[in-house]
Amino acid sequence: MSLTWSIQTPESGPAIARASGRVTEGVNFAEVIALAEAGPLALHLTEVSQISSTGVREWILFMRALSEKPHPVELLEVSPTLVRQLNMIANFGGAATIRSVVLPYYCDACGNEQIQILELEGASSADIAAEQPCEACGETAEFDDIAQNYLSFASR
Amino acid sequence: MPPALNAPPPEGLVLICPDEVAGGRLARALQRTVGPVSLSSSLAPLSHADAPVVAVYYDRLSPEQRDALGRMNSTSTPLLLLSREHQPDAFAELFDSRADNLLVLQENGPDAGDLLATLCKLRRGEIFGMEKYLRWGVELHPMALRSSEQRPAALETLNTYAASLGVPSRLAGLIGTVADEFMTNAFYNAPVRADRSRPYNRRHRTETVTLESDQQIELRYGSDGVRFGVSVTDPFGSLEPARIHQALARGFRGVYNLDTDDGGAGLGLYHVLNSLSHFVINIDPGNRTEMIGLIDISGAFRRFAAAGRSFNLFVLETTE
Repeated sequence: MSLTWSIQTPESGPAIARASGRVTEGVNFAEVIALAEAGPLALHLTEVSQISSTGVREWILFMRALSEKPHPVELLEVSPTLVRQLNMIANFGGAATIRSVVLPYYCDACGNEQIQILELEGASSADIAAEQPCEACGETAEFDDIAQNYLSFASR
Repeated sequence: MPPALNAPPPEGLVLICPDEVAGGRLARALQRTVGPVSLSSSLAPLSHADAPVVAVYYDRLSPEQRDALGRMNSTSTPLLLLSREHQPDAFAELFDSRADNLLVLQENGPDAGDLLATLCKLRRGEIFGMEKYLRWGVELHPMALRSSEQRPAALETLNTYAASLGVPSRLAGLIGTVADEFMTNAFYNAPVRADRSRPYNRRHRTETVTLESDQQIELRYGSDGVRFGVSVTDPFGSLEPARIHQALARGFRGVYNLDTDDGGAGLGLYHVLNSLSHFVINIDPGNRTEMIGLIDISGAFRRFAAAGRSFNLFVLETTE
């Protein structure tokens, strides 16, 4: 599924754009860029599941366009897919402030996948819990990535 | 009296490792798969024109030997790097110059199937086919594609199939990413005209490319329960090894910068290399390119992320 946006413009606070799906060459950022023209913007990225190399190019152009706007942009609940890109691609986050990331957990016992949100302010890899109870079967769900590398982007 | 049955002698290989203990242990592991292994503590076998395949236990080389290997821009013998440790900077240098084959070492040597496939392909030139990397009996699902507009539907089919196998979503995401990169490359970068110009490589990837009926590409995918494989074959054989070497070297170097890395050239291959357990490229120049991506789906994403990356590039010699 190509990337779709769900937009909310509350009376107070930043406009909220929730992304869902795959970032590819055909993604349309125009509506979201226009939001950043009008005021502060918060991008919720939990549901971004895949990104292609052409999507990476488009995303970086998107981030550049946002950085040229006069209002601040925040990235919230950045999905593991995008956290990988933050670690692999320089300037992937542009000038935006990354407030929080999604931590993925996987239960070997039942195959359940679950997430936890980590607020980044003052956080380090030590704040990534190695495991948590599986929400499906009660066994142990382990952090499903390499904890010591997961937040590398934050120290660049 | 029945005639005597003489088994052909196994061909074996040369293993370069200056550490006798570690080399001996690995040699015995290799021997069980490939036959006699002669151990060498120096790089000299790489200079012998008639040497068989030479494997190098890279982790055990001295700093001087690593430098010397890096300076060997060409050797007459096929070189197979074996490594347990992920050494991105060293691999970047080697793949920038001449290395074509890297297999990750596990507890008891490299995966026997990968080793056999690599040696068989180096020796006999039968380079094509994803079957070589999957267990016997795997059913591969083919899909012929002529238009770039078919990519989303193909990816949807692939994603549905991966989900039906219970592949964790993050690994399934990598499978989709790799298939997308392979198909995009086959439609936009691979086609060449008789004058060697590339008609579609500058087209935006949202613009449709429709190939002639005799130029269709083939997507294949399947799983043997341990690995999920996806391959795309095009009938052009236009991928240039030098470009692959550059992109791989870039891939091993870590963080990619679109502002400084040739405006993003090679980003697709970089993306692929970081999304696979094992990446294989087979090229018959002017006739066919096959890209094969294999992802370990036997465990969670963390297992994939912590493991090394194997790579093979095979190019048939042209008779021009």
